[in-house]
This record gives sequence, structure tokens and C-alpha cells, in this order.
Amino acid sequence: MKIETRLKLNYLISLSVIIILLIVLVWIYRMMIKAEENEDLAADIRKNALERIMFRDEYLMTNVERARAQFISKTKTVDNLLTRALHNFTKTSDKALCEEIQKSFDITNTIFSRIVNIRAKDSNLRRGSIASPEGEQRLIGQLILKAYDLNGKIARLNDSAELTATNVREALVLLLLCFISLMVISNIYNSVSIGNLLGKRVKMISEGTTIIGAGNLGYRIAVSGDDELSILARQTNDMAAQLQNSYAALEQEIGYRESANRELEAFSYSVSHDLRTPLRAINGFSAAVIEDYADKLDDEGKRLLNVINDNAKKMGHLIDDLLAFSRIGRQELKKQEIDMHVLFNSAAQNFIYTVSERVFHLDIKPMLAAIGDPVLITQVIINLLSNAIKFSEPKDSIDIEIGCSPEEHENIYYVKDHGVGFDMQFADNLFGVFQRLHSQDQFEGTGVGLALSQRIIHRHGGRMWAEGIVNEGAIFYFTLPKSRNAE
Amino acid sequence: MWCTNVPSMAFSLLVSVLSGRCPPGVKRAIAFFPLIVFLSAFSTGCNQPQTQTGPPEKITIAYSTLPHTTVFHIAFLKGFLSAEGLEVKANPFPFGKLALDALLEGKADMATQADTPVMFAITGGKKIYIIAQIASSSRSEAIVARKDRGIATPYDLKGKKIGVSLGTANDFFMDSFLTTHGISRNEVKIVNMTLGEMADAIIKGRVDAVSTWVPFIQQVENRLGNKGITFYDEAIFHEPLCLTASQEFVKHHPEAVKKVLRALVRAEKFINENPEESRRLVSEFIKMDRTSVDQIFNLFDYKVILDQTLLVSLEDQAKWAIKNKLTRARTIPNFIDFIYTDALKSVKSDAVRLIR
Repeated sequence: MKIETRLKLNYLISLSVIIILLIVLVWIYRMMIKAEENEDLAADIRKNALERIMFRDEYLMTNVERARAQFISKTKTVDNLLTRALHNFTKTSDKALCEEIQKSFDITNTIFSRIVNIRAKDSNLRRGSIASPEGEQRLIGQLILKAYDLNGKIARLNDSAELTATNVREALVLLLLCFISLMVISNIYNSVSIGNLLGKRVKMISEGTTIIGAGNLGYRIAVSGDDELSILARQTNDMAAQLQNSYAALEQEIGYRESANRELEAFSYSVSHDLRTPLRAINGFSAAVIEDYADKLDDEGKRLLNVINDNAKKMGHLIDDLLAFSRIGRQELKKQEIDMHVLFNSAAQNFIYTVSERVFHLDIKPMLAAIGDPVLITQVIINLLSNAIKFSEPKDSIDIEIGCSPEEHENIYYVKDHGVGFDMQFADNLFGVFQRLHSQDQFEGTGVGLALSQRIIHRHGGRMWAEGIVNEGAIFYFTLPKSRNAE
Repeated sequence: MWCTNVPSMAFSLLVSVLSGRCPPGVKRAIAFFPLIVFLSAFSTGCNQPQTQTGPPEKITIAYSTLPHTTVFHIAFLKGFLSAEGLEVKANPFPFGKLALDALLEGKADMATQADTPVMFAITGGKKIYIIAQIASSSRSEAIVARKDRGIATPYDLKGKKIGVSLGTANDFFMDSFLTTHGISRNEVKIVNMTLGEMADAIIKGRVDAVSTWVPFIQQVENRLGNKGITFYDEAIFHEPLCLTASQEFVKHHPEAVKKVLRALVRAEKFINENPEESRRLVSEFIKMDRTSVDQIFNLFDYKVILDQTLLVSLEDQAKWAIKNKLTRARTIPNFIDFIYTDALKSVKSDAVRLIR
């Protein structure tokens, strides 16, 4: 059952209980009103019956006509009340009691009439017989006896009416308690049941999503029921299944690409390697021709042979760089903690002698340690320093600044020069293989160095980028993972 | 408090609801409340007879084999007495007076009879207690007369021969009947006879009328057929049927008295709820034909009580007995001293309406 349906059902049950409660309350209230009316009626009968006895006794003692008339008047009152009681009391036992009271009441009237008749020496007494005083006394005795009987019955009716009224009032309280208990039990049950269901489902989904989120895309949440959270769990399972399929497809794609890369690198390597032999032949033979046939060649011939020889050497450099570039992709990284200050410093030392005739100013800021392959990172540093020196040559002095700034998980290292710089719109071309922003005549190089450096940094999980302004200089940045000791 | 108030309230509510006038749906709705069901079940448990822990208490009760004492018959037949832990030896007698004689002779611990023999016993100095009234009637006595002897109205009895069992309730009824109709005892010829002789006496014409009790009234009426005329007078007569015990017994066995009364109160309830079955049981028990039982049954009001009517009735009869020298007593005793109310008060307090 859906949670929404459960909640609606809960609401309907509560509403039904309230409606039933109201109906029963109205019904009980009506019973209570009736019971209280009967209670008042019984009390009224009792009161009037007692007053009637007082008039009776007054008449029997004084023989005053006024007392007799009042007795008769009170008798009519009681009679009317009894008629009402016969109609109003509906409980079988009360009705029977009302009938008994009416009967006893009639008997007392009969006896009283006979006493009155005796006293009046009524002519209705056939044959002229007159009751003796003893006869009257006997009737008075019976009148008192019947009056006690009547009074006792009226008292019973009164007690019964009071008891009924009390019972109805108590029943009202009891019913209220019952309904309140029922509502509380119902609400507790529903709350506990819905709470348990929600708790169970949420826990199941939470555990499931945690496992799936951790990478176990094959995990499926155990789903039961048809409520909203069960639907959510099924949808989560579907999502995991989709992710699993996509992940498998991606892995397959990556596999294809890696394979293609490896093939391409192997191809590049073998091409580069295989080109070296004919190139070496060109180079060797052109040198032999110059050396052995110099006297037979004119100047133009010598010059052309030298051009062939130079270009063969250049091509050899290009092939070496290509080989190096392709090796980087396959070379195993030997990561360790690197003291970057030492690395920068020792690399810089190599250049001091090459630029000795120039003003060379190198500023190495404090460095932070990093994680990486020191051999490869050294190559990156040499490349960057070499570039910085190379592109500063047109200037009077060479000013290079090396620095570092820490980030959350990595360090940013930079090499800043004040050389010819570059136009930022060509910044993306800087790191392409054989890409050059300056002609080879202006600056030597194969255009592989930065591509190689970027590839090394990428293999370390870092980034590399550059900023530059034409004729003002350039800054090359790269990042490496922080050393754990530095944290 | 819990055992008496709440469960009885719930029970009475259930009874009134389930047997009353509410719509069936509401009945069901209310009947479903587990709390009420629980309380009513609890209540039922509280109303069970007291558990008997020791051996049954032996008690002898002398009773009359007349429908007057139906309450006792039912209590005995339905096992209400034994359920109270009593082993009752029930000794039957054709009339209550004989049952009381058995009590006075020490042959019974308790007896059932009309108030007249009780009045005579008390005015005669016997140490007995009235434990309870177990029924009452104003139509249990009547004068049956022969119309062919010129008797059409009560006044026609003057000068006639009337058969009566002297010193009994029918003697008192006849005396009251005549007196209140202006006829003195001297103006009629009274013939003393037993109840058994009355039917033959009037049929054979030895008397013109008889003053008799149920069920003999019906027997005489049936035999006279159209020739007979019956004079009842509810205005002058009230006959309580009593359960009595010797004062000595009550003093030494107050718990037994309560147990008997508890059983009789259960019988009273049973009779009111099952009148048909009660008639059948009584008819079989006292070996009276069903027609007679049916004729008599409704003449009595079967209630276990103690009220003022008993006192007034006893005093009226005592006055009559003293006046007619039917007893050696010269003054009316204080009958209230011979009524034991404690037991009934403890069993059913609202049944005692006697002002002490």
C-alpha cells in the first residue's frame, strides 16, 4: 500500500471515529435528556404522592371536606403524572413497575372511597348496612399498608430512574474514554506502522545508494512493496543499471583508445627508429662526399652538400625528440617525494656556464616539496629553463624567476622570464607537437619540448599552462601533487 | 469500587444498548468496543456466586408445595442454593403453617409460609425471625359462594353458612371482608373445616360459601361451575409470604442466612426473566397441573424484600387475633423486633425498605 494511501486511510479512520463519536454522543445525549426527564418525573410523583398522603391523613383525622377535596385534587395530579410515566418509561422493568404503581394507586383510591362512603353513610351501601367502626379501622389499616406498598414502588421507580440517568452519564464518560482510547491506539498504530515502514525503506535506500555511490554499480537495493519509497528504490536500481551500462561502454571505449594510442606510439617509435638508419646514411655519405670530393666540387656543390648535411642533422634531432615524446607515454613513473628547490637549483646550474658571457640573473624563491618522478620532472624544469634562456637572448640580460605557491591538494610552480613573450591568442598552440610561435631562424628548436613537458605533467596528474605578453616575457606554470610531509 | 461501579455501568449500558431501542448499526459499533466487552466480562466475573472453599453447609428448609413459594422452588431447582455452598434438605408441606410448625419443633432451620401463621407464632411467644418476604399478593384469598343460595353480592352473605379454617389467613380475610361490608361475625354461621374439606362441603351444600386460598379457590370454582360466585377484595387484604428462621439459628448461622437470601435473589431475577420456564419447573416440582399453576402464578408478586407492608399486615392481623381471642397475647408485640434485616441488607440493600 502506498504511503499516501496509508496517510489518507489514517485520516479517514480518524474522521470516521470522530463522526461515530459525534453520532453516539448525540444519541447518548438524547438518552441522557430522556433519563433526566424521567428522573424528574419520578421525583415529582414521589413528592405529590407524599403530599397526597398528608391530605389523606388530615381527612382521616379531621373529617374536613376541604382535606378530602385536596386529596382528590392531588390524586388527579398523581394520576396524570402516572399516565405520563407509563408513556415515558420505556424500559420493560420500569414500565412494569409503572403499571404496578398505577394498580396500587387505584387500590388506595378504592379504599379511600370506601372509607368516605362509610363516613357519609352513603346510600349506595345496599340493604342499608353500615360498616362498623372496626370495618373503617380495618380499611384504614389496609389503606396505610397499600400506601406503604405504593410508596415503596414509587421509590423503586425513582431509584431506577436515578440509576438509569447515572448509568447514561457514566456511559457517556466511558464511551468518550473508549473513543479517545480507540483514536489514540489507532493513531499510535498508524504512526508506528508508517514510521517503521519509512525507517526501513529510507535505511534500505540510504545503504543502497552508499554502496552504489562507492562504485559498486552492480549492487541492487532489495525492493518490496509498492509504496513511493519502493518506487524510489526501484528507480535508484534502474539508475545504477544505466550507470553500469554506461561505465562498461566507457571502459570499452577507453580500452579501444588506449590500444589505438599504444599502436600509434609503437608506430611513431618504429618510424622514428627506422628513419634514423637512412638518415645516418644520408648524413654519413654527404659528409664523405664533402670530405673525399671537396676538390672536385665547386662552391655551390659544397654549399648544397652542407645544406643536406645540416638538414639531415636537424631531422635527426626531430626524430630524437619524437622518440623521446613517444617514450614518455609508455615510461613507468617512479614517483617519490621531490625537493623541488634542489631540482630547480641543480638544473639551473647547467645553464650558468652556457650564458656566462651574458648578464644572467636567476631568482629561485622558496620551494615546496612535491610528489613525482624526479628524472622526468627534471626534464620539465630543464625544458622550461632552456626556453626561458632561449627566448631571453634578444634582451640585454636574462632575468628568470622561479617560484611556487601552495593550493589545497597541489603546488603551482612557475618559471618567469622577461624575454620576447608571446601573443596570448596563440597560447593554445604552445603545447602542440612541432608547434612553434617563432621561426627556427629566430630561435632554435624542434617544437617538441613544451609538448613533452606538458605530457610529463599530465602523467603526474597535474596541469600546465602559460601566460605571456609580446616582448615583455612569459610565465609557465605547472602543478604537482603536494608532498604528504608538507601537509 | 471498580468491581461494583464501572463494570455494572458498562454491563447495564451494554444490556440497554443491545436489548434496547437503538439502531442496529450503533449497537454493533458500541458492542465492538473492547473496553466495554472487557469491563462487562469483568463485571460478570464479579457477580458470580461466592466460591465455596470448605465442605457444603447443611441446612433444612421446610417449604409449602404451593406456587406462593415459587422463589424458593426455583432457587432449589436451579441449584442456586447449592451454588452458594449449601447442602439443602428441602422438606415439603402442603401449607405454610405446617412448614412453620416444623421450624418451631426444631425439625427445620428455615420455613416458608404466609404472614398469618408467623403472626400467631410471634404473639404466641415463639423466638423466630422473619428473614425476608419472598412474595406477596392481594388476590390469594377469596370467598367462593353458591349463587343458588341467593348470594349475588357480598351483602348477601349475611346469615349464611360460611366454611373457614379458623385462625388462618382465610379466617382473617373473611373477617375483614364481612366487617368492611357491614356484616359482623355474629351475623353469619361460621363452620370450621380444613381446606381439603371445603370443596366437598360447598358442593354438597353443607355450607353456602367458603373462605379459602389459592389454589383451592380455583378448585372450588371449577367444581361449582356457573353456580359459583367468587369475591376477591384487594382493598382489604395483603398477604406477604415470608421466609422465617429460629432466632437461635440466625444467631449461629448468619452467613448461611445470607447465602440462602443470595440464592433467593438470583431466583427472583430468574423468575422475572423466565416466567414460562419458572411455571413449568414449579408445576413439575410441586406436582400441580400446569393450568392451575398458570391461574395462580400471576396473582403473586415475586420479590425478595422487607418493607413496611409486612409490619402493617402483621399488626392488623394481630389486632384481629387479639380481639377474637385467637391468641393468648393481649397486646400487639413490636413485630420489628422479629424481623432480621442485616442479611438482606448485605445481599441486596435496596430491598430493605423497613423503617427501624
